[in-house]
Amino acid sequence: MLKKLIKHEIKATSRFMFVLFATLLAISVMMAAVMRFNTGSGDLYLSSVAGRLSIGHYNVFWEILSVFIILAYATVNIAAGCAMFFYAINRFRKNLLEKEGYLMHTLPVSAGENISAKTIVSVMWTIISIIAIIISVVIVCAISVGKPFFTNLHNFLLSNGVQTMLNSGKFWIIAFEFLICILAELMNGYLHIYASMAVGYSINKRRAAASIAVFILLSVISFAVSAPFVYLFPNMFSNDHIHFAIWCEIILDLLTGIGFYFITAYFLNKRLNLQ
Amino acid sequence: MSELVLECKGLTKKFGRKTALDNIDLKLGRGKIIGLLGPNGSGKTTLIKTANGLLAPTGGKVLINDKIPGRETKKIVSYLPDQTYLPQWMKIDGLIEMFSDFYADFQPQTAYEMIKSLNINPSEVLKTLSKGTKEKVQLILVMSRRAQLYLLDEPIGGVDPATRDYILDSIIKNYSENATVLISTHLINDIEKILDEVVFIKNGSIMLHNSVDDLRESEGKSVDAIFREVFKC
Repeated sequence: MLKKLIKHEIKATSRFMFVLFATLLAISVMMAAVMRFNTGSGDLYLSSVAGRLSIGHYNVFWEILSVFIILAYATVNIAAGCAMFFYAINRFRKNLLEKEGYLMHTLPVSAGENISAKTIVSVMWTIISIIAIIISVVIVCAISVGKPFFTNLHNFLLSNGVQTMLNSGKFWIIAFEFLICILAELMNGYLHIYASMAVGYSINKRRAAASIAVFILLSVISFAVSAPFVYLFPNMFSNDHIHFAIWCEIILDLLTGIGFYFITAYFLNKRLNLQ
Repeated sequence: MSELVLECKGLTKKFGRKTALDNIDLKLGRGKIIGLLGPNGSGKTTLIKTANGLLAPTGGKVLINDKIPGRETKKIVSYLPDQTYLPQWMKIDGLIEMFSDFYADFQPQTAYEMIKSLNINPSEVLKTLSKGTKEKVQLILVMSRRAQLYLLDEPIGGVDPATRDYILDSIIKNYSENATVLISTHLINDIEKILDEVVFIKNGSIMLHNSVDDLRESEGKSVDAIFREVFKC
C-alpha cells in the first residue's frame, strides 16, 4: 500500500512542481539571453533579436526588461528552493488534517504509511528542486557564455587538483556520507514539521499558531539531545574527525526523526481532529 | 465470520468535559438497512467516526467484525462522511482509479455505469461540479464497493427531494447482499420506507433499538411519529 500511496502523492504534487520547473526553465533561458546581451559576448545573436524587436544595445526598455528578468530569475530560484517546504506543509494540512483526511484516514493503510509516503515524496521533490536549480545555473552559463563555458569546464575538470581529488577514495567516501547526511537532514526536517502540525491541529482553535509553538518546542528538545555530543567531542568538526562528525549528525537526525515519526503517528491515530 | 458486523461495548467518547457518547452498548447484525436517528448533536457522527477509527474512544470499545477499527476493518467498511471530502482538483475517473487501487472490493464498472446514468462526464474535475453532483459522485464511489458495512453519515442532508430519491434508490440497488447499511439522519420521513431497523440516539445514549415492523406494530405509528414523540423539545 505504501507504493500506491507514493504513486498518488507524486501524482497530486507533480501538478505544482512541474509548473514550477517549467517556469524555472523559461526564466533561465531569458536570464541567459539577458546576460549574453549585457556582457556583449552575444552581439550577433542579440542584434538579430534586437533588430526584430527594434531594441538596440542601450535601449532603456531593454535595460528595464533586463533588470526585471534578473529579479524574476532570482525570485524563481529562491521560490524553487523554498517551494517544496511550504507546499509540504500545505499538503500535509489539507490531505491529512482537514476534509481530505476523511478519505486518507479511511483507506486501508496505517497512519505510518501515510506519514512515510508524504515524507518520501517531499524529500524526493526537494532533491529534484536542488538539481533543477543547478541545471538552471548551467543553462544560464552555457547560453550566456557559449562555447568558452564548456571549454573552461572541461579544463577545470581535467586540472591536476580536481583530478587528484576525484581519484582519491576519501573524497568519494565523504561525498557519500554527505549525501546520506543531506537525506537524513531532509527526512528529519519534514518529520519535524509533520509532528508539529499533527500536535497543533489536534486542538480546536488557533491550530496553525499551536503548530508553530510545538515546532519551536520540538526544536529546543532536538537541540538539547544533540548538545551533549558537541560538548563531549569538542574537536569533532576538525578535518581528522570529519567522518565521525557526519555520522554523529546522521544518527542524531535518524533518532530525532524516529521520535517525530512516532509523535505524528500517535496524534493521527489517537488525537485526530478533522475539521 | 461473526454474526455481528458492528458491536459497541460500553463505548464512551468525551471531548473535554462534554460527553458525546455515554457508555453505549449496541449490536448490529448483517443484511439490514438500519437508521441511526437522532437530533443534531445527539452523537450520530461521533459514533460513525469512532467506528471508522477517525476518533479514539475515551472508554469501552467498538468492534467491526470482532476487530478494533484499523487497517483490516477499513477494507470492509465503506464510509460516506457528512461533507464533501474528496480532493477537489481530481477528475472523477482519477478518483475511480484511486478507489480501485486501494479497495479490493471496489467495482469500477459499477461506478462508471452509475456516472453514465447521471450524464456526468467522468473526465470532469470535481471542483467544477455542483454541490448536488459532488454528493452524488461521493455516494457512487462509496456504493460501488462490495463492502460488509456501509456507514453513511447524513447522505440525504442538504440535497433536493429528487436527489434524495436518487440517493436512496442507489443505496437499495447497490448495497451488497448480507451487508449492513447504517444511515445516520434526522430526515426520518424520507428514509423510513427503506429501513429494516432503527436506532434512536439522544445525548450520546441509545434510547431505542428495534425493527421497524415491530415498532410500527407495537406503537401503531410511523417511525417519524415515534421519533417526534421521543425527541419532543
